[in-house]
Amino acid sequence: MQIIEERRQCRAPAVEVWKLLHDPLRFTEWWAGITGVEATSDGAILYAEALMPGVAIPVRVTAGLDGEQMRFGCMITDDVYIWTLEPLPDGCSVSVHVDVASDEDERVHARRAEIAASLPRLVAAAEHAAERATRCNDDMDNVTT
Amino acid sequence: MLRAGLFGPLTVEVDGHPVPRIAGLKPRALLAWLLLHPGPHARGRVAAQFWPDVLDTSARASLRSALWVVRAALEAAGGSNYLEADRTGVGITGHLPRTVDAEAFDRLGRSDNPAELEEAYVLAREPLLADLADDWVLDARDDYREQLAGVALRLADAKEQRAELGAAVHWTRRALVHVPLRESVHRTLMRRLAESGERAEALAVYERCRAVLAAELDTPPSAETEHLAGLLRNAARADGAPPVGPPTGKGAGLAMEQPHPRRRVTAGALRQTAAAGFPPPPDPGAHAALSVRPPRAGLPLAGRDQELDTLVASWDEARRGRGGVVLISGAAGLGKTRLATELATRAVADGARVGAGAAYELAGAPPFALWSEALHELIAHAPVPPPDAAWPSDLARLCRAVERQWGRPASPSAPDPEQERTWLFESVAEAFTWCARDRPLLVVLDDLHLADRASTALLAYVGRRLARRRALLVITRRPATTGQHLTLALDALARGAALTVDLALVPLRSAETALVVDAAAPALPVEVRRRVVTAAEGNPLLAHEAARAAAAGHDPASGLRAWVRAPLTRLPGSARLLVDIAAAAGRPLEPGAAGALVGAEHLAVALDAACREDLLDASDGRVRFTHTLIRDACYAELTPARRVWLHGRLADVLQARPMRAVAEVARHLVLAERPDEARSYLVAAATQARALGALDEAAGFLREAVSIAPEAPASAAELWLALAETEAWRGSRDEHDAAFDRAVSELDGSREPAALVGAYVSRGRCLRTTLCYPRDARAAYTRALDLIETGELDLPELRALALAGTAWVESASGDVTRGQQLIATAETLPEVATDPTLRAELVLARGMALLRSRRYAEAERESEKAAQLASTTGRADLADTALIQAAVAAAARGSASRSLELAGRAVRGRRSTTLAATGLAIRAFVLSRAGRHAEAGRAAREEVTLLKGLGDATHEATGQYDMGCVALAAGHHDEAVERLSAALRTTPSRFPRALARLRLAEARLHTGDPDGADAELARVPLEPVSPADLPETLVPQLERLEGLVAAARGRLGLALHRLSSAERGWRRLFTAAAPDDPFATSLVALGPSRLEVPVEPGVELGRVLADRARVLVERGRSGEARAAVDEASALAARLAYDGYRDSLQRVAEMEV
Repeated sequence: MQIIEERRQCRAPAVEVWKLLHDPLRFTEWWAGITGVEATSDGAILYAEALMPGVAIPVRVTAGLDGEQMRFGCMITDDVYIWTLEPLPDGCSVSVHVDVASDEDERVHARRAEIAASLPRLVAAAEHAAERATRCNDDMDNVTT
Repeated sequence: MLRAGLFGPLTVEVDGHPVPRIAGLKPRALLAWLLLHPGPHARGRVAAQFWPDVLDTSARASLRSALWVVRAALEAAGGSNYLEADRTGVGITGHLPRTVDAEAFDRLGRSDNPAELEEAYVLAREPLLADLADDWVLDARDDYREQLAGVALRLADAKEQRAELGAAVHWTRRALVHVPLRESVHRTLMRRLAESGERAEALAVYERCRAVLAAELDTPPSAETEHLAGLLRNAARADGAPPVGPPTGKGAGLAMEQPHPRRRVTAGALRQTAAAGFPPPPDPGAHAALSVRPPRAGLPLAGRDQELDTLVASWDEARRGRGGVVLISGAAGLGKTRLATELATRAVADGARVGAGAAYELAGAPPFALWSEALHELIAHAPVPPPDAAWPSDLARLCRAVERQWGRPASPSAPDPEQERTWLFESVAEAFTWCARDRPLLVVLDDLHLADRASTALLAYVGRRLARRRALLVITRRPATTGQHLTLALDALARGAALTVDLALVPLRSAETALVVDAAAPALPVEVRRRVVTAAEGNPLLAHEAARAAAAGHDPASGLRAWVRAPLTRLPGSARLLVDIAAAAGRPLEPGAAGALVGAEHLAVALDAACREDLLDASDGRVRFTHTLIRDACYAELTPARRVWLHGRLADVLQARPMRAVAEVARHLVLAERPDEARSYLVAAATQARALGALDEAAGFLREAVSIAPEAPASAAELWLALAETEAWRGSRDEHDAAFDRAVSELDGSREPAALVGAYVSRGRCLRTTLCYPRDARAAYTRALDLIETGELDLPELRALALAGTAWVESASGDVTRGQQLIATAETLPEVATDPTLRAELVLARGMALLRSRRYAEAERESEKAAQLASTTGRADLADTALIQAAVAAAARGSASRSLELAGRAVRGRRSTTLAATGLAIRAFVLSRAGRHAEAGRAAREEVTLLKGLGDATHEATGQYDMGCVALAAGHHDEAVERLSAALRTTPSRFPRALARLRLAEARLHTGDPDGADAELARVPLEPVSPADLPETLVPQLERLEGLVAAARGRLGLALHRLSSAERGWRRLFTAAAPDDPFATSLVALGPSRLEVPVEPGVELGRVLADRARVLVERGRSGEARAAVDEASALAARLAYDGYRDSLQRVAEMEV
């Protein structure tokens, strides 16, 4: 088994990242390669049309005992993604830990690339949501209903 | 020819070839049972006998597996043809020659020939099946002991007829060893001794009879025995012999000599009966006093006036109906027990009913031992409860005195240990109420720091029920050795305002210590006295002992061990043995046990000598040390070899005692280094502990059993699997996994495929029921089915269980369609058709599948059918679960009245507290949804009360959560803040914490605290979220509240942004889940049982629309507001939800 770990600071509060992680239907906003999502009773079914056209990728979503962790278990590859949030005074820290169930270089590289693309997107999506909220607050005429 | 020896450890040989030792306790016990009961038996009966607490199909599967092991063992000796087994029956054949010692005993024991009777006696000298400790073995052992006594008595009669009086006395004494509580045998022995000219010894037998009956049965001798004793005394007087009467003093009733002149007669009000040795015939008032040990002679209560006043004040309050728990803390020897005893003395004088129990000083003691002891004493003197009260039968499982004193046999234990524990705890609380009904009640529980976890949990439960009772519970503990479980129990009592006094004893001042020294040794020289006071460091016990040591010329600073050495060396042999035995026992010994250990004829002398040295005390009818520190010092003086021997003797004697505690026997066998027997007794102790709901203790016994390495992998696997199941009941997934992995690794090497399949099926059940990991359960069942298929194994029961389990898992949490197909397949199997409980489970699973398919009416019908099926098999727990599920289905289809009716049926009667609370939670939910907030509040409050009574903080927090939700819906926002905050302060939790945090934010918002609400929202990401919490539903709820916080702060643009986002989320869930279904329902947990009730995206959507309309009105966008209100109103009407109609009305008015 191989392990990949990444961490990034986010200027948005932890709750904005949390919303993105907990809403499967918003996975496409940040999860690299994911083009479609269906929510299921214990997670979601992901679609990555560019990589695997027409293939359903079921993932199981659970939370860690301490609450700040979000765990995605891919039921096809057995890879496990653990996302951890840590509140900071001016935002939060977002960490991801991936247990790659295979030692194949190709798989490990693919996961590393996926994380390298997804983590910044997740942070950016959260910061964007926070900025948008601030804008709504500053300028009530720009409200989108 | 098969030869079997059942007396002693089981041995079997066929034609001179020994059958190898059978791996596994169950298969070995099965072979023993078949040999003891030769001939054919119905499989179902045998299976139920050995596996009583599982599904019939599981029991039959286990029987099949065990028979396979037995057959293999017999085959190894060429004797497999002795075992006859087919689809319906099993047994040892009657067509082949066999010699079984138990059968020979039965035959010889019926003979009139003394030689044959003696032969029978010799055959059965060893205990039956000494290496097994199953309940049926222990019962059979008792039966054979009775028969053995009968054989000895018949021999005695025969000897008497031949005028061989000495031999008659000899055989009567032997009979008495086996039936020490049989009064008629005591009388026979008295008579024969008197006829032999040994009147003094005859009267000594009478005194021992009184002592044994008083200590063990709380009854005086019968009139017939008293009459005989009177005749003996008169005859002695007529002969001019010195009067032989009962002694007084610490050894009263046991000692046969007059008390030592320097000891004053103790007891005062407590033991006025000491002059007669034992208590008079039943009188409730006098009997109130019996359970309390008198204060120790010569040890004054110095420097504790203030503490005693505090205790007395607390007792006075309790007598007035304001009871509770009093805690006395302090280091060993500071006088905790002494203070409690002083209070008990006063309580007795007040006419109170008093009971006392102390924790064993041996690790791994039987669970609830100190409670059992205290209850034993209370029950002996309390009036008989009415026959329609259910609790005495539950209490009888904990305390056998209930059956003897009240004629109420124990009811069967519940299949669910948690339920069992609740019933048991409730029965103790009821017993306290009953005993406090006609007079005040004082119960002293000593040395709680040594008590098992189950006992401390019971303390938390019962202690909180005393507030309005005339009852006081006094507990003592040493703070330095107090474990976490006791600390938690005390915290729970303090939180519930049940801990009325918390008394911490500090060392005495020098002047007070000097008082103790002077009382113990009045004539000490000044300098020696000063050294004694200094050495004692304010500890009254050490002051007393140091003073006595100094008076005897020893160094007062040399320590307790050195001080006890001198008296120990002065003791005669029998007294030293008694002291050593008492030290190894680690608890007070009944006179019968003490007599059996040192020899009944030596007991009196031994006890008197030990009491003279102030080491032992028997003033309450049992042999005990004067203080635990003295016991520790004496035990430390024992050499390792002597300890091993003493523990072995204790094990042998205690296992032959009536009402033996197998855990205690196990402990002594472990310390006696007899591993095979110890393992059997530890497993039996675990079974008993589990039956009492003491799961921590059960797991502890099993862990210890597996640590004694068994000789065969299959034996080890059996123990690891039992541990895995117990860990599952404890909710410890990791521990369960570890134990299961060990079991599998043992079985992988044992080449027993059936056992391996059984292990996976057992794991599947643990994972799908007690642990609730359906996906992993499915994997276990799949593995079991694979093993059956690839190995082409003929295991129909295990296959049926695996199929049924898979069907259940798929229905509950997997592919509903596949689940229903599997249910249909499983129901066609004959093994399922003949197992009504398994059928009920499958019907319940079908109900669950229908619920998940949103076919609510059908789900309700099937669930109710499952409840009826379960009721017919006596499975009230399963029936209640099914009723709750039916109630959920009824709620989901919008029938509040039907839901309430079904939930109400689950709540009624003598049911599981947690299920009853879940029923109330559903009732509260349904009423709240219907806008009947006052009734919802009452239901939720009732739930909280019920859960509070459990004394478990996590359950209580669940009740607070449910009550908080009801209060929030009712608009009682301050109460909601209070309840939800209280719930969230408790970790770990059983309720959805993230959702609770959201609801707390909403409540704070409504109390005008948007900053507080915002702070709660910021903490949501730090709360655990499980799939059952439906994370995707939490996001729109969070966004809605963010919007409301923004609105409250006047940031209307942000508010509209957040509310719109929330609206999109709910709209998506509402339409995506079931576009054509008005009850687009998701499921989240509610109530303590983690059963599920609907969350309705449509309702939530309406709520957000109403909120958004309100903000739009404020923004002057009335047209959009009206549209939102209209849509919300239409939703409310469509979903028959009145919960936010008022809110909509207010918005409409704002708009106007």
